[in-house]
Amino acid sequence: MDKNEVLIQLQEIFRDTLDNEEVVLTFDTTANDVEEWDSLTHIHLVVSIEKHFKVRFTSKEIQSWKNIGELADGILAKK
Amino acid sequence: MENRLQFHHVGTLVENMADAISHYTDLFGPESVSPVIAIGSQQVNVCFVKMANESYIELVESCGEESVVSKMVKKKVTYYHIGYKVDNITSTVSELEQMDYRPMDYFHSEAFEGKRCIFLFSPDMHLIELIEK
Repeated sequence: MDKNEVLIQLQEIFRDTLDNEEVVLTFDTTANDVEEWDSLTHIHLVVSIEKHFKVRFTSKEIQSWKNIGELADGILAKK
Repeated sequence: MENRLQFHHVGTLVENMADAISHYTDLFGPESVSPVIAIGSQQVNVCFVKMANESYIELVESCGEESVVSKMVKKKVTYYHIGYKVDNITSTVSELEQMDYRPMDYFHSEAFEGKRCIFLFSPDMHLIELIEK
């Protein structure tokens, strides 16, 4: 699995979790770019991502991502 | 669990604090309703309605689009968290993390004399708040 495949899967997870089919992610996307992505839905997203990719992140890792690209890197590092 | 969670409140969102206070004052009397307190870091106003000794309903009003709860208000969410007081908030969070709880960031709450508070999601995605005694 490469970073682009992770991005495509992340987009589906975001659309499902945030209940918004119009979400479009890029590696530069941040929480400021997605209206429904706030500190509460962030935890929902993390849990959905962990279940989907069968990985587990620490609290420190969860707080370290600055954008979707860093999140994708974090997923790939655990695969 | 080593750290005891002492029930303190159920948090519920209200669209208009003045209307909610009027309603709860009718229900439980003015002596049961606290003054409104602004929680700066969360961008909300809160008010506690006493149900019993150390048991409250927390009315939470969003103070703007940037508040954590503004989107929940739009979705018509009402009751959304349970608040517990704890003796040692740091060790309680560690213990809950071992039980798969997901913590958010600590904040200092004007509603509790500036003491540290934190929201966590349970494995079932139930939201709880811990308040340092």
